[in-house]
Amino acid sequence: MNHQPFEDWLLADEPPTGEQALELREHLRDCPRCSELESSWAGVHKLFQASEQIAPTPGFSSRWQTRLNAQQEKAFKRRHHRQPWLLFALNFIIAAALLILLGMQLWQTFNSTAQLLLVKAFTVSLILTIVNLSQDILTAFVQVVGRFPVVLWVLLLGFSGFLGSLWITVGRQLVSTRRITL
Amino acid sequence: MNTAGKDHREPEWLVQAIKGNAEAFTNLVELYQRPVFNLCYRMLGDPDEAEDAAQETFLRAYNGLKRYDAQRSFSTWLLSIAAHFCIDQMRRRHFTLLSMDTLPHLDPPDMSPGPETALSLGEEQRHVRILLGSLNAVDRAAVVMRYWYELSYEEIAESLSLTVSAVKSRLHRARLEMADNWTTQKKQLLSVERRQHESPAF
Repeated sequence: MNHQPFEDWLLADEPPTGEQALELREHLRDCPRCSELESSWAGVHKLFQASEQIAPTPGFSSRWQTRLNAQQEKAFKRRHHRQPWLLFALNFIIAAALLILLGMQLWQTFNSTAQLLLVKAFTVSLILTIVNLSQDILTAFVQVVGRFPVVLWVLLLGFSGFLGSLWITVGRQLVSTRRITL
Repeated sequence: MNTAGKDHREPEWLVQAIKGNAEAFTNLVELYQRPVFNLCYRMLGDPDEAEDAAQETFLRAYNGLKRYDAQRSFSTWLLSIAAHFCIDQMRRRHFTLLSMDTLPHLDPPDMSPGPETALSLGEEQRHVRILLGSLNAVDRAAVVMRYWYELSYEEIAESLSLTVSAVKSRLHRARLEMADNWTTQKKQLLSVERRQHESPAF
């Protein structure tokens, strides 16, 4: 048997309309299940209607005020306790930011290491070239010295010394300020 | 809506409370303590837990007053907070609450609040508690809001964050469940009475 519309009508807030009420009455006569549902729901409904709102024990609002005060005090303490930690955190963040900036600078330095090494290598190679050239010049000089007799060298040195002394003396005479006597 | 103890100074207290006046909010606590406590008690079935839930409801309402929409009824808003808190509590307890499935129907363990509590739980209250105890948290909230506060389907839907059709179907299911439960209770009561009459006298 289909109980669906009857079950809905029995449990609905609004009573069934005239035609529905007739149909329902007829069905209830033949259906013990719906009849039982009707009486049970009527019992529950009656119980709910008779059941009043329950009040809390006296002093509820003062207990609430105490609880509110306790909560506010706790929140204040938490805030107070949190302040040094906030300062510490702020300092920590600043220090970390500075450290990151430093790190970035260092990173840039590390990144240009290859260029630095190239410059250094070029300088070293330049010095080595100069040393090499000087060595060549000296070797050529020593070879030239061995081909002429010592007397010639002595005469050449003596003549060079004389010319040098002459050049210095003439230079002094020309450059030095004259002494004026009144 | 049946929230009992309406006061013409309520709008004024509400304005003052929104501005941060704790004393004005205490007046609102005084005014709504009964409906809020009743909802919590019907939901949780224990006076101590109900007291705690009602206190917490008012604290949450006080802290969240800035979010209160003045277009909405304050009492419905309060009941909504209480219902949501109780639903969360019940889910947290996870079926440890008095339930028709876990407890014998006619002789449940003593859950009376004790001599220090002013609540007197009569037979009628016990039956109500057992009937509501057979429902799930959201259905129970819908039933309580419907039968103790006479909230409309729309108000219940808004309070419990449901659609109107969901509220209707939940209420229908809850009524059917409670009617079945009532039948079972009556049958068991009859069989117990019959057994008592049949038992030999000592």
